[in-house]
Amino acid sequence: MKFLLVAILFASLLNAKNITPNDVFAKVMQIESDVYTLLQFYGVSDESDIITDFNKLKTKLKPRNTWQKTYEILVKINMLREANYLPRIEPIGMEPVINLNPDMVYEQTVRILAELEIFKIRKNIKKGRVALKTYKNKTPLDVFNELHKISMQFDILNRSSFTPSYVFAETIRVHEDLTLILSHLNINDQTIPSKRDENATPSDTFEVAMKTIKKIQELQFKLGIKIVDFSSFKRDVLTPSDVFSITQMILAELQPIKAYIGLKNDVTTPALKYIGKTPSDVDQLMNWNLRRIELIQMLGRI
Amino acid sequence: MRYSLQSKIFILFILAIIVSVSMVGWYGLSSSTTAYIDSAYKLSYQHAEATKIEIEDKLSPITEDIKYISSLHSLNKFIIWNNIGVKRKSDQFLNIFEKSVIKFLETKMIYLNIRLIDINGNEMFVARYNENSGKATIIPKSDLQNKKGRDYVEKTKLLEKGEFFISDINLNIEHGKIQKPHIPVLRYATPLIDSNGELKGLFVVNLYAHHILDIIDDSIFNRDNLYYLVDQDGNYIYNLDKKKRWGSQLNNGYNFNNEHFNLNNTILNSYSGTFELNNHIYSYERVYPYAELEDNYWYLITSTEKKAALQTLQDFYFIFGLIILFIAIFNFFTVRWFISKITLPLKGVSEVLKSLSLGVISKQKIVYKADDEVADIVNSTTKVLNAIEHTIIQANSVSNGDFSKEIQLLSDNDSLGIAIREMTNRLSTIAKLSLEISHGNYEVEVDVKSSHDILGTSLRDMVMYLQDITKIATSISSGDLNVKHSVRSKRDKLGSALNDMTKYLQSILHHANLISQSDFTTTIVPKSEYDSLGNSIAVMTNILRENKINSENDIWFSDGVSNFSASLGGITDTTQLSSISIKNASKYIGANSGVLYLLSDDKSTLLLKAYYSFIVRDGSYNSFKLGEGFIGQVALEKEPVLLENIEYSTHTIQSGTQKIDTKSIYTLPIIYDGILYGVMECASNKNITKLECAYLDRVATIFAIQLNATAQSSTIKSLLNESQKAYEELQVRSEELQKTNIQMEEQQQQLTIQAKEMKIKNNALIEARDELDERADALEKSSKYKSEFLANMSHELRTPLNSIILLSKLLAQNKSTQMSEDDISKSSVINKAGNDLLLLINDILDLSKVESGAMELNESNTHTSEIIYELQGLFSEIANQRGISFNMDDKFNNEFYVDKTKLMQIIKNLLSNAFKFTKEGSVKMSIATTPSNITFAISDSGIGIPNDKLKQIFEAFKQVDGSISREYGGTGLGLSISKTFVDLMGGSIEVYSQEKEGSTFSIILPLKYSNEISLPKVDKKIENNDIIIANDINILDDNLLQDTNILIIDDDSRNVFTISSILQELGAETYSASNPKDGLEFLIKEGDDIDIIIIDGLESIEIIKDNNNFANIPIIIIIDNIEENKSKCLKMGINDCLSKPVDQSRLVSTIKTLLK
Repeated sequence: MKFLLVAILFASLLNAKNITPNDVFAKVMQIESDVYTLLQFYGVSDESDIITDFNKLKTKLKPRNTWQKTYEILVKINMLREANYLPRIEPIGMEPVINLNPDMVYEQTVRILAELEIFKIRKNIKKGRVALKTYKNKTPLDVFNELHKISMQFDILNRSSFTPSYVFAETIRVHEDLTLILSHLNINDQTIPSKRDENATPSDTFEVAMKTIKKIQELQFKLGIKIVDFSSFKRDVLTPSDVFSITQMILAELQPIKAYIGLKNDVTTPALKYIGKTPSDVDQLMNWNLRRIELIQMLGRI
Repeated sequence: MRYSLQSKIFILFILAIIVSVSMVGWYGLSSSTTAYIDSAYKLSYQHAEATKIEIEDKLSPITEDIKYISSLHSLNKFIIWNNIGVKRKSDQFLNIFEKSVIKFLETKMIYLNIRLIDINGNEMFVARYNENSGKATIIPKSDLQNKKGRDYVEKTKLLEKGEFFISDINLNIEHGKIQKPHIPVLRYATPLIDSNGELKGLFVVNLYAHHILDIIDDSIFNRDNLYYLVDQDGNYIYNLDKKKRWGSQLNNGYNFNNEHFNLNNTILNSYSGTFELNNHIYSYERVYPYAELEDNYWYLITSTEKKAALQTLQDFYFIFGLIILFIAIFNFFTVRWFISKITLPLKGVSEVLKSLSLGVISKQKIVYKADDEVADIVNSTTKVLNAIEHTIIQANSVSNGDFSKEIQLLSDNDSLGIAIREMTNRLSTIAKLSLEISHGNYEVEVDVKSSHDILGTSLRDMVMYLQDITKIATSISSGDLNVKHSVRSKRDKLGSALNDMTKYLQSILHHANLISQSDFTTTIVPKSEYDSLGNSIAVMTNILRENKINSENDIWFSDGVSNFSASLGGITDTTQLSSISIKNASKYIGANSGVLYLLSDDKSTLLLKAYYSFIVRDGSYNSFKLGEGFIGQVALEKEPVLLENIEYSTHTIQSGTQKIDTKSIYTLPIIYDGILYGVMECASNKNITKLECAYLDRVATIFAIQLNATAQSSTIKSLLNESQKAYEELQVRSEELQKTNIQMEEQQQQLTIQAKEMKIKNNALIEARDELDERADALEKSSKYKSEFLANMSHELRTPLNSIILLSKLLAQNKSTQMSEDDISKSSVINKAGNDLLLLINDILDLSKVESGAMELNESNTHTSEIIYELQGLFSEIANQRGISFNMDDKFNNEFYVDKTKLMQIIKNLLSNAFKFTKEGSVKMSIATTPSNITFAISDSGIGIPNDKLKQIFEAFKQVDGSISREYGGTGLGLSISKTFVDLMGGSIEVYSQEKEGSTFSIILPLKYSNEISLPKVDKKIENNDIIIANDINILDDNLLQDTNILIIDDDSRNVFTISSILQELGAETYSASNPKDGLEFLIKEGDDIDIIIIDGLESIEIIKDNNNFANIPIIIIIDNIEENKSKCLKMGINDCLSKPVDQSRLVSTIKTLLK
């Protein structure tokens, strides 16, 4: 009995609790508050300049998709740090799992908040963070949309969005993941990049990315992984940022496949910095990725 | 003039040879001349062709090599990533490709370089192989050139995938200049086109061309035979005179067209050929470096002076003349010798024949070895002479009766020889027939040649007589006696004897027939004493006769016995048995009368029981006593008596018509199994035979057996009756027993049911007991796991506490003076709470250690003065602060054997309690001994303990009153641990208390001594965990550890941070490593100035300790269970050990001590 008391004493210190989308959303709102503080710090005080409304996605997302959105924000924090002559700290990729625990998304929000706090300290921004509020009935999609909004606000903060070079870096990450999968499946990859299209646009590349996702989803279907509808990602006018986002979704969707075939310990390599890349470069590489995923599908190794 | 045969033949031979040799010589000479000229042409052409093939063979694998190396995965990936612009990846694959190419060049050894050129002519990659060093190298990027405009660049760009451009063989050019010394090269180039059909670059390979020129060098076999390799413009690629080569590049003015003949005019559109020009024989061949490129070729030309080429023909003429001369001389002497060899034996034959014609046989030896017609003449002559001589010898032998020698015929027509041979054969045949007859073989045929052949006729008649005799003998031997020989004459004794023998055998046969019909009456009379057959048959007849009589007797006997037995079957009446027995027995032997007496029941008298044909006139025959009369005597002796030839009989046999005298009487006992049953007697008017006596003996026995059986049957019957009665009684008793059995069975079933119920209950009890055992085991395991868990948690709990206590203490010191009073007070609270938690953890761990069995005693010799000294230091100050008197009385003041650490823990605990619960008055401790025990008594004048709570105070987590812990603090484990320790040490703890007056706790331990020599004590200040700091150390002095470099090795970053913080606050420079291995690496690289090393745990510290370079640096170990590991640390040469959590002052004082 006496030892039970001691055990309870220690256990009570943990204060264990299940993370819900409401909790994540609360953290995201704190991030938004910090970003708002930064916007004000950099003189973007006009309410009209701050994005308050946008085309929200309407689809059913998985935690892995939301996690990947947090990665996008971490990349943008890196851009902010770079612009402020602070060293880059490349965010690490998602752990390959079949079903990502929502707690991981929460962890990412905490990470973002920590990075923002560090940035504020480095820039000597004194304004504190808003208190954590309680929300009800929030869904992963709400979290995703809010993160998307924050991502767009970072574009204002950075005075730029993702360039083709950033998209290229993420496309290379997709390429690396596919190399891992091909190698693991003992597939001799004889594919080569497609012909370079000097007139390729983000819309063209987005189309290729959507085809790639479709092929990935066909593989997921074979493996019994529930499929996410990404059709709402498509817009009338597509920018490199949209291609970046869909590339993130490609990465997110590849992770369950990696986990399924036994690559649970092979986290996607961090992105490297590229400069001077054009939409043609991204398009060519994205097409090559498509050819490689088609090769995997054609050989039926999965 | 008469020429001899020898001269004529010789002349003829010589003439024939001269004519024929002349004709053959002329034809051979003319043909050879033509052949030699043709051969010179062909030889020239073959040289050119063989060299051409060798060159093309050398070049043929090159395109395959290029295909292989240009299709390497790394090259393709390099080109892809280079085009995409991902330098990291393109460099990565280029590096792999470079290694492959270097390996390839060093393996092949024939290529000067391999180049990768982009579509603008820029070299992207060049690897070069140096033949002298045998090594391949990659050309630095700074040395790469632009090859735009070169034919192998511009022309290759226009090619399709898989096609090749091949240059002329010429000198290598680097940076636009011919490389010196000259390196002849042959360039192969192919475009790199990907699956999309896009030209990505060019792949160029330079071959060291001397490998081709060396082939031509090796082909030259003499200086008259010259080789040239020229391009289509006549420029020399190969000329034996090296200065004439490379005319197109060096402009030296040498050209094949100018020096020999114009290629275009002479051999235009011709692939190969041979021709004569200007007293030279030229042969040429086109050489294709790549068979698929028909327009890309060189000419390989050989040139030979005609005179030199036909030198062998002149040599032939000279040798031919010599051969003709030799043949002529040779033939002359050979023919001469041969003819003389033939004519000489013919002369000898002629002389022999001359002698024979005179009747003289002259055997002259004529020698001739060859096998031909002359030899036949010589041999025939010799044979004729031999045959005549042999015939004479044969005739002499026949006349002497010797037919064995056979004459040799000279031929089929040798009539004399045949006649002599026929005569000899006739005589020989008659001799053989005579020999056969003498051996008994009469089946021979005698061939009578004619009516005058008396010898043949006589021999035939003799054979026929012998055949007739043989036939009769054969009939007799086969049993046929009805034969007769017709006697030829009175002198035919053999025929007469044969007829007599036949008659005798017929009489024997007749007698045998009678015997076979069982007629033994007649007896054969033997012819003489030698007539063994007649004697044997007479004996045999007698034996058969006797056998017949015996057989009839046996049948009579066995029939009689069996009839007698059958007549007695089923009769059980003794009288009837007796009557039938005497009647049948008497009748069978033909007795005139018979009587039968049976022994009376008292065995003393024989009573007449039955008789046959016997008249009982008076009672004298009715009974006989044993031994009375014949009857009695026979019964007494049990032996039969036969009276024969009775002349005066008193007894007659009465028939209806007359009385017949008795001639014999046979009286016999009736016995079976040695028991006498009676006597039987038969009387007959003839003598009773032995057979009849035997019969009577047998039937008497049968009668006795029957009598015995009848008696036995009567006995069985009576027994059966008795048995029947007994059975009926048994039946009645059996029914009673059955009833009893049924009752017992019912009782048995009830018992079985009860046993089963008992068994079920028993099993349930066993299961319950097993379950209880399992639960007990589980509980025990659970308890053990729990205890082990807590014991193992020591490290995990103390490590963070270490940081909490140290850092909070550091904060409370407020060295930065930035903290408010409130913050300092909070830090103090944290520090105190940490220390309290540490105490609690220590207590729990100690308790759990004891429970898990992990606690061990570490006994050593301890002097009580040490204990007094330490306690004085610990509690005097507290006593002073509280105004309580504190006295210690040591009546023992000696050394004893004890686990000092645990004893001190118990005493300190009891003293702490005493001080805790005593607000005023005194606290005492006394040490006293008995011969077997030592007692430490701690007394106080405190609040005391109620009597009803005394039993609970040693239970863990229990204090007398819940409010006590709030007022006095404490975990409630102290007394429990103390008691556990005392128990472990084999002692006891007693308590006496009076509420509101105070308590006395007595620790009673067995007094033990040991011969163990005490180890020299380590510096007391360092050994004692609870000693505070040295007086001369001020931990608030920021420069206390100024210029001190300390390496901290700990895998827990919190500890590193904590200790670093403490030490840095005091001015020390600290470095850290996560394990001893990294620590050693740090020491090797930058550890020259390290003064102290602090290491967490003992694991792997030998890595540092064993390194001589750092052996002098003092090491402090921070460890969980210092009591258990301290001796181990000291043995390992560790300078000091500190317990976890580390006390700041203790750490600093230790460092300062070691630095001194």
